[in-house]
Amino acid sequence: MDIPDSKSGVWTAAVSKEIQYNFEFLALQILLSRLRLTVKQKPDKTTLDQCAAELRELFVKTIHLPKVQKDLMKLMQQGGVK
Amino acid sequence: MNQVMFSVGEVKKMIEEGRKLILAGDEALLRSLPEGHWIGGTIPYFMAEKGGVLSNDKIYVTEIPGYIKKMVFKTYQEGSVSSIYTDAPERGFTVVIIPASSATHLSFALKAPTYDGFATSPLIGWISGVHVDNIGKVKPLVFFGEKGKVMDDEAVAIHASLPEEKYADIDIINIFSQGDGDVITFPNDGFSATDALINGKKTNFAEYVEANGLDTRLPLVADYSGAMINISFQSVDAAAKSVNFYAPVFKDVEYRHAAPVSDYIREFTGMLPGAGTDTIFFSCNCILNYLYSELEGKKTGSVTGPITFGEVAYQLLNQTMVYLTIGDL
Repeated sequence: MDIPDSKSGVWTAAVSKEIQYNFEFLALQILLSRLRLTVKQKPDKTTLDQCAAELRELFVKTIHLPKVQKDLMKLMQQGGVK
Repeated sequence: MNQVMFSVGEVKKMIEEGRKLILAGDEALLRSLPEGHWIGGTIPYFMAEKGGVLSNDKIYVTEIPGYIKKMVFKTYQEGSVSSIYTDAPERGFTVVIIPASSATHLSFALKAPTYDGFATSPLIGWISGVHVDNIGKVKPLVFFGEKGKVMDDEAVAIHASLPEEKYADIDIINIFSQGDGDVITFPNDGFSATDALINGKKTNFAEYVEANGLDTRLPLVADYSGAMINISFQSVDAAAKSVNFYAPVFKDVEYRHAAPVSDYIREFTGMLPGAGTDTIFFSCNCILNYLYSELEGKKTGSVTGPITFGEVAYQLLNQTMVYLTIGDL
């Protein structure tokens, strides 16, 4: 399963918008909330890019997990990438 | 159901056979064990085969499966625990035990979400404790069996690498959900709070708790993208006008007081994983659930584990059962 590259808008959308994905992977749920809070507290481009990269990195490291593959599908569908 | 509680003699034999173990039990029992491939922490409460139990003569044993060929045992101090994620194997999991109220515990609780690699590998574990009558009198401890070390201010961890065909995953069972009351935020991170913003209005939080008759057995609950994360009340200090918690609240996170729960066992068993509990390798549950829901003598399905002074599932949690499953890819 291909993970969208770092320039894809799905990553910045996920950390900057209150999109409800109904993710199942606990690490993703916790990290996403943390990253959204960070962006909310410091909404500059550098922070946004760092948080988006951190979110993508979680998928890169855990994509072998069945739950993460399902959650990636949800992320791509909600983020407009089919 | 598999046996999980063993006598000192039985555990000694396992250690002498070279088996790799994660142990929980009374301090005197753990001190009597020989050096070997084990880590442990103090606690006398357990969810055992027959249900919740207080035991000073049995040790709770989790054995590392034989297919795990590579394991690294490591201790962490307040200044080094930040590397726990970057030390984790690429494919595997980490189990950590941290003594309650130690500097390492407080540091992990406050800063884990800022660690390099946070949440990128499965980190599960627990905060060791003591009999509730001995809180403040006896120090919670952790044990590093390979070095014969007993520690009250360091954490001990096992980093275990899994074979390619297996994976580890962590999940939680939290029977609490956000109630429909006020939105509560805090101006700072911390284990205690004086002021809070109640629906955006600055208010003394101790006075708010008192005036609204909040049941402090019910935690504050934050919604982390669908995962309910609790902060448990420790005490309300009316004189100091402050409220103390068992885990830190975090600045700007939106909390609500939990909705009441009528029957812990029914709610809990209703939330057990649909796929069953056979693949659960390790789990633990909170002392507050044990006490407030009077779990002694009651069974939480077929799930067993130590009862703890805090649970670790990537970060410190409260009033939550955490569990790690090992599955086949």
